[in-house]
Amino acid sequence: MQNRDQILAMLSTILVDEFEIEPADISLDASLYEELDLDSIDAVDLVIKLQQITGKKIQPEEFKTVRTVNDVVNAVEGLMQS
Amino acid sequence: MCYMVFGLGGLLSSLTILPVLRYWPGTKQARTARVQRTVSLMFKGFVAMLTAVGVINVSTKNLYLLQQARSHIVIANHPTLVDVVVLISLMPNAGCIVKQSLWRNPFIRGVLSSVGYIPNRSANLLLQDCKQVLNNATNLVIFPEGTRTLVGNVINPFARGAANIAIRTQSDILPVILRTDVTGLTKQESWYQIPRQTINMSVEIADSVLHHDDEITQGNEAKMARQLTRDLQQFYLNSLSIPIDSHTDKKRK
Repeated sequence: MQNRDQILAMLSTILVDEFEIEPADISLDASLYEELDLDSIDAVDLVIKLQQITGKKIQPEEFKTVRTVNDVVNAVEGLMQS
Repeated sequence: MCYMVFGLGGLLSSLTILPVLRYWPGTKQARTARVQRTVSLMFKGFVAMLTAVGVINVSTKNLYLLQQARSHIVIANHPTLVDVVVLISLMPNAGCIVKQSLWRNPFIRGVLSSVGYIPNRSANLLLQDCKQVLNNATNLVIFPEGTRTLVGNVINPFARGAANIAIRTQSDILPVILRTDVTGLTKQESWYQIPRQTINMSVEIADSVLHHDDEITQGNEAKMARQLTRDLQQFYLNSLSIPIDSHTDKKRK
């Protein structure tokens, strides 16, 4: 899982399977909280899922600024490179 | 209009007795319970005053379910400004989730923490706090609508917080249905716009929605919370399609 497409595909799978989000609604600039209707508890779940999959520890501060699908992809990409 | 201000003033001034109770001897748990009872009594007085001046008239159905409840998530729809006051006046052991910003207010902070209320901090901390409060037999009052019902709606769409907290703390939910006959004290009016007509409010306690530990497997809580929220929302839509009527505890006696 190196490139952004793979990260996006992985993220989409999580969003669809765990959070009942319609695949058609997922785009890079879709906002997690408004358009995809996640709440703060979902965000915690999402971070846990991402940690399990990437095997990296995610700092809560890093995730605080995350607003859109693209932000998550960037955060995961940064994590994989570090 | 002035009586409302008067009532709030009375409420604020009685807050001065809470610090005394706070340092009254006893375990932390006993002190919290004592303050919760005091707040409930003060709210009872406030509701009595609102009734005396003809703002609201509260009747109840199956009230014993609410008064027996321990460690439940008490949810209710939210038609008016005074819902939380009415609910807490009927519950000797109520806790709430309160805006975190109020914790920075030096006047209110002491009261909030002595009564065992919870700041709405980050999701993780919030869940921990809820668990702790629920373990102390406190019932947690949550309005899943998030804010008062928009005039014209039966209910606003439910947020998933209440369902999430119930599922993740393995708590039962006690649904309370608030029915009013005239609109008033809504979000769309200013708080000082007192309705001309007395609001009759019926407080009906429904059967608990029990939690099922066995259905929770690690990782599917998010889905379960969604399903539970949809179920609760449908339950309220169905229940509220039945209008307010006279089959209440008070009138039966």
